[in-house]
Amino acid sequence: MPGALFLPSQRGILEEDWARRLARALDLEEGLPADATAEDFYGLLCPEQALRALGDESGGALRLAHPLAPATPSEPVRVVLEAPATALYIVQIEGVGLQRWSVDGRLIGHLDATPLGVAQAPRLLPLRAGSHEFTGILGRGARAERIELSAHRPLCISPADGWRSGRALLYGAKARTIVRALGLERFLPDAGTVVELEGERFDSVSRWGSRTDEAQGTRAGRVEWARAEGSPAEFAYRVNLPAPGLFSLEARVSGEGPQLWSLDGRLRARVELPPEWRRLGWQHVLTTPLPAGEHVVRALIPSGAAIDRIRLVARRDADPDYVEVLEQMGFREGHVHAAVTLGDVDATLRDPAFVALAADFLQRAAGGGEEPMPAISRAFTPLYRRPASPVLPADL
Amino acid sequence: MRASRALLLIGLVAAAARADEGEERRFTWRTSFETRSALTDNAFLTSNHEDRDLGFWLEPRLELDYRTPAAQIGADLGAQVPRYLDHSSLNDTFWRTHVQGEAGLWPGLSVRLSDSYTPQPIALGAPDDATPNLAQTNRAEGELRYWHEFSGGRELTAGVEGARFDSDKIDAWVPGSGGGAAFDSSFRPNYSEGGGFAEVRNPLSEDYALLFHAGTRYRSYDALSQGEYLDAEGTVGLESHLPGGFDLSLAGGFGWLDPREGSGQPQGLGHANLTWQSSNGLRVQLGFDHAITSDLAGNDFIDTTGRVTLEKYFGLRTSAMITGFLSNLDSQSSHPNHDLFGGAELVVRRQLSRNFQVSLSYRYWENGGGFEVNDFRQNQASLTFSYRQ
Repeated sequence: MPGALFLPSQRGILEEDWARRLARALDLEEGLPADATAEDFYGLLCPEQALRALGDESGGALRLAHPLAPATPSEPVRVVLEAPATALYIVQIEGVGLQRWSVDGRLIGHLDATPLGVAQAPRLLPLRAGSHEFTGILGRGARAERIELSAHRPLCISPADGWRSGRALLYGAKARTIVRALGLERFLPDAGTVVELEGERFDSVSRWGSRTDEAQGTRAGRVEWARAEGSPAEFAYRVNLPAPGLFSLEARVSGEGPQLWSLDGRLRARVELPPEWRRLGWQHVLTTPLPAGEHVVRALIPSGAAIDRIRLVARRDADPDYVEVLEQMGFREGHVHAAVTLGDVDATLRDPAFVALAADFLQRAAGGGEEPMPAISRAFTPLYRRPASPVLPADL
Repeated sequence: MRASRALLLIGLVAAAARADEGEERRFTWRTSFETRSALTDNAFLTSNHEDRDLGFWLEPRLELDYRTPAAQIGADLGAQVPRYLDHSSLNDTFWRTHVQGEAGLWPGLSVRLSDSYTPQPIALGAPDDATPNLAQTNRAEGELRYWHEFSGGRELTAGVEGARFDSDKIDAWVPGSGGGAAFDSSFRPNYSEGGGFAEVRNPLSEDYALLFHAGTRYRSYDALSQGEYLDAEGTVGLESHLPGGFDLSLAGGFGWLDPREGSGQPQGLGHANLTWQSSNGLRVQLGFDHAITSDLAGNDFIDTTGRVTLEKYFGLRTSAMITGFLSNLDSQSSHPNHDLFGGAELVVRRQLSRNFQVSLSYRYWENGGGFEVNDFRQNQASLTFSYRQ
């Protein structure tokens, strides 16, 4: 008798259906109404596409509030901010001290604005278009002076030319969206470092930033880097890209605690260095598509932290490159232009490696948690495999 | 025979690859390598002569794929090379090659061909990573499949398939003259088989589907007629994705296995599989199978197996898993007897880098039950390093 239960479904799947299933797997549905449209899911997966649909190309879609201080210390701070489109958002609070924030009654998390004077929420927020109430409970001596809500633009989980309803999902688009969703873009093939800067060659710096020539160990080849002395400091660097493409921003940094990085002001990333991160080491900041021309990299680092080098590494990002990343992990993929079946989608979304990497997506995409690592296939062979030919001792 | 066939497969696929590298990257290849050190207290899987030994299994592998939107050819070429310190009789070289192709002939109509030249376990109830229980085999399969989608998302799949199985010589008890059993130390359990199936998938909603399956198959052995049989089965099943990370598959029905020298009776069939994956990295799998099988003498057996797996991830790089199974084989012949066997394994895995993984495992296996000839106990500890390009 055949051992397998049933054949997987061979039905094709449309992009809007894949977007909905992927958003569900990444736990992005929490802020959506029951009658969410395909565009709502596209916005959650690719805020950039949602903002472009609104005609916002400039990096706006930023909402600010300056909350009034509560009348009594035990009273929460409340502000209402409007999300211009259904998308993923990040909240940034300027102030000081330990704070606990919620949106529409859902917990965002705890943050500490003290090290940098500003802090990003520990996770991204999937928000529907419209008004949302933000509530903050402030610890003793804490203040929230400015609350900023902005679409999380660096992350765009979409096919190469964006989402399109009614179009069949192909393996190339499936691979591209999965690799982005799981945060594995930095494992795309390296196409060369196009820009590399010394940290101490900044174009501008805030008050507490400086250059230092302190030696980092006896064998350090370089003796200069940028450093925040005594208080947080912001450094700015201008870089020129000769051609557009997908780039990873990487930095050789040291220090302890959070660092806030941005590209052109609108592509933001939080880098959380673990407590044991004392010596200079390379850290992935973000991977995002960028046009050719001049860009500005800004880094806000806490007191005592340092920036030694910054580089932009070009990544090959054709659909076959994304398929390659998944196949290295043991996923069985198809030709980039072949249609994906519902059975394939079900198998992918239930693969233990996918589930492990997709968990905590909102925290990881906001810069927290463990760096994602493509796992070699976790599909264990069964402990007991029936013989192919039923050869039994005859006297059984 | 083994080497020449494997080299032929490599040559055929490599030639195709060189000719067809294009900008769509239709051709891809990937190497991997695994080395496993296994310390066992019963290398020969016997009840009275337990031999401790340390073995090193080397497993190189090359995966080749050529894909177009309408067709694909793939080859998984590798070998398993066990080397033991104390018992050179356990040393062998097994080829592990699998070549498969699939092409669409017409909308809904496709053909699938495959050839697996791999080591297979010989006896029921014994592990498949022990040299005494492995034989080099070849299974060539062909299938013509038709698929059609009806309104409402219902799917019909029907196919006809044929297979040819060839094996190296093995030790086996086979039907002898006068109805008794004779030991044959150079038996080849080669057979041909053919059959067909039809399956209907009826989605009830996005998360639930009702399934119907019917199939039949005839198997004929080259060397003996007693093992020939015809089987037929019909099952109804349910697949569901339940809230909270639960996936449940159920199937039940009836099967009829009619050996040439025996008389088959309809038997109940059942399969169940429940998986739960939590967001905090815990995965639990429970499985149950109740099926019919047959031996070379044409005896029917009811095969009932239960499985359980618990896996816990510690971060993204480390996992610990414990898995176990228990299987009972009941003879339906005039002299009923049963075989009971099971095993449990603990595996801890660590992803060292993108390409390297290490795992440490301990396994206990026991074969007992009323049939005592194949009884044994085995403890085995393994350390495995895996590389994947």
